[in-house]
Amino acid sequence: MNSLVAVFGAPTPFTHALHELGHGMVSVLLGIPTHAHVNDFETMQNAWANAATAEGRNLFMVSEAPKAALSNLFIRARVKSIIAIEPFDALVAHLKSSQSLDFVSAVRRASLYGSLMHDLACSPSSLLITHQWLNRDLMRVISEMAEFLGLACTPDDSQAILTLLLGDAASVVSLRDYIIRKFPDSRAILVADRGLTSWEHRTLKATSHGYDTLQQGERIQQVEWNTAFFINHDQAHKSLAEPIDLIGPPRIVIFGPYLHLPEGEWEAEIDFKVTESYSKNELMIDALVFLDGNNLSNPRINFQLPESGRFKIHLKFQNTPVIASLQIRFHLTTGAIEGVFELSRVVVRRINVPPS
Amino acid sequence: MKLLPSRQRDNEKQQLLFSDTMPKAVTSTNSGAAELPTKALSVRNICKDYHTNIGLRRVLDDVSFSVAPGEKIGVLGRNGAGKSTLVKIIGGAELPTSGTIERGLFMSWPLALSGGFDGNMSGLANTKFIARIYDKPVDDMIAFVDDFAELGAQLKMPVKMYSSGMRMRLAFALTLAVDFECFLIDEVTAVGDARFNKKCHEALFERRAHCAMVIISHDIGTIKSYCNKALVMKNGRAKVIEDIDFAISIYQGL
Repeated sequence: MNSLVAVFGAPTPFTHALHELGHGMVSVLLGIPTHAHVNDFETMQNAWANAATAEGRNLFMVSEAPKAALSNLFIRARVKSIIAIEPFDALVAHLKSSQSLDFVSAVRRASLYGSLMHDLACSPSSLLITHQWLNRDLMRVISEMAEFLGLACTPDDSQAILTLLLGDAASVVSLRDYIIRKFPDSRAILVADRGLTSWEHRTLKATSHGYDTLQQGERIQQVEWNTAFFINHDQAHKSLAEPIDLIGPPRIVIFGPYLHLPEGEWEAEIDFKVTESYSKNELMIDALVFLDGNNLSNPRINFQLPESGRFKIHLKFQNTPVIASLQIRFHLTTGAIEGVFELSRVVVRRINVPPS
Repeated sequence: MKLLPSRQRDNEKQQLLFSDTMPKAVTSTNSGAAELPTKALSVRNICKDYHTNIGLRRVLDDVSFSVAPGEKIGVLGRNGAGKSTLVKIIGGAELPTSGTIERGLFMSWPLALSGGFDGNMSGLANTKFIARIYDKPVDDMIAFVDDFAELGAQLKMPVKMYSSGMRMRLAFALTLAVDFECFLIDEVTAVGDARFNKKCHEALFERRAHCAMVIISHDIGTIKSYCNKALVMKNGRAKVIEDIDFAISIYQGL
């Protein structure tokens, strides 16, 4: 085995562009590598074994959704890796348009990718490439990637890489130009409004802020889950848009948001408003970590709803693994003849960092 | 004294009976108590407080509903929700702490209630007494009770000698002997053995299907079979729900 070059990133044009640049770079500098798409440890082992017997003996690896064991391998072995981290809203916009997802589903998927990349993005052995790099000269991007990986790359090598990838590269001067030339549909996502509606921007703003710390290589510490990502059980599973009339049998009144967080201990701070709850309604709030039909964790709080007022409660939960979707569920545990419940705000905060 | 038609006399008498005991009306602010037909049982913003060893306890809290002629409302709620207190107040046995009741319908006492009997008097004497109170032809009422209660010669025995079943049959017959417009039914919809039970059901729900009823019952089948709407009670609060199945689903989760 000569070299292992790995590029991690959500499946977007931005990441694909980095795949191409990385692959071209390895091809020119080290020879044609074995290319592998890897998301788990076992596939990685196989790819490694295959590359060892191949002619070039170099492995170029891409991963869009690395599982914890694979990430941990790279982090603990301090394997230098290139990590593509995009702004959360750009990732949402891309997933929405390219995979025909509705907005909320795109947010859920984006939170999964963000959480899967979390530990690698925070690792000192990673080179984070973000949208800050979009306006950089492509030659510089290539040389910085090569330098980080410890590969000697002269200007002639960089030019050779560009020629390999583009043929005539005269009109391509920046990473942005390269992405747009290779993936014309990505143009809208690389501009400020991402092609999202103003409502989508407003809804996404606070949540994006939480996940975007990754762009600085910093851990996700706090994420606000907009209440629009929750679901009103009484209205045929529509997004939560207004206060809930509690009248009715015992039931789950609100659930969701099926977003993802990095592994660790978290605390949800839940703000809500109650009015007209005069007949001692009882609520149970639980956090459900759910994977493949199994409840992995289910801490809960039971309490009697006050008649009216604004309240805040805290619910701790353990999130593992990252691919488990998270729910905060609001159960009305007794039948209600009156009462209005309004979920005002949900913020999740990390309370303990898992040992690395 | 000018003679009035029987029904009009019944109504006037009942209003008179309650006029001394009813509290002053309070101003209604409840949106549920909108324009109602004048001929209706109308309960508005009823509150009932009891002084207990552990302080003031509110048993009914701003309860409002109405029952129009022929309408049947089921009252659902767990034990302690305030149902029986509500019956006592509607029946006039207790006064509300605040709120008003307009009995625009000729109201029964709670069906099969035997608490009003004088045990030393015979069933026959009790029947005569009720007939006079409600200004009914005595012979007609005796004939009805004798036929319905099937007590035979025992109707002439003191009520205190009756078994509980006999007592219930007499009470049931007496309630049906008066042409009430609205029956107040607290759990009891039938008494006696299976045959008498069937007779009670037919007399109440078939021959008096045109009458209004306030039916308090834990029996979902009864509520579902006979009621047009439900009053679901919880911790002294109450809500009228037009969809019976929805009301039952709430009740079952209380």
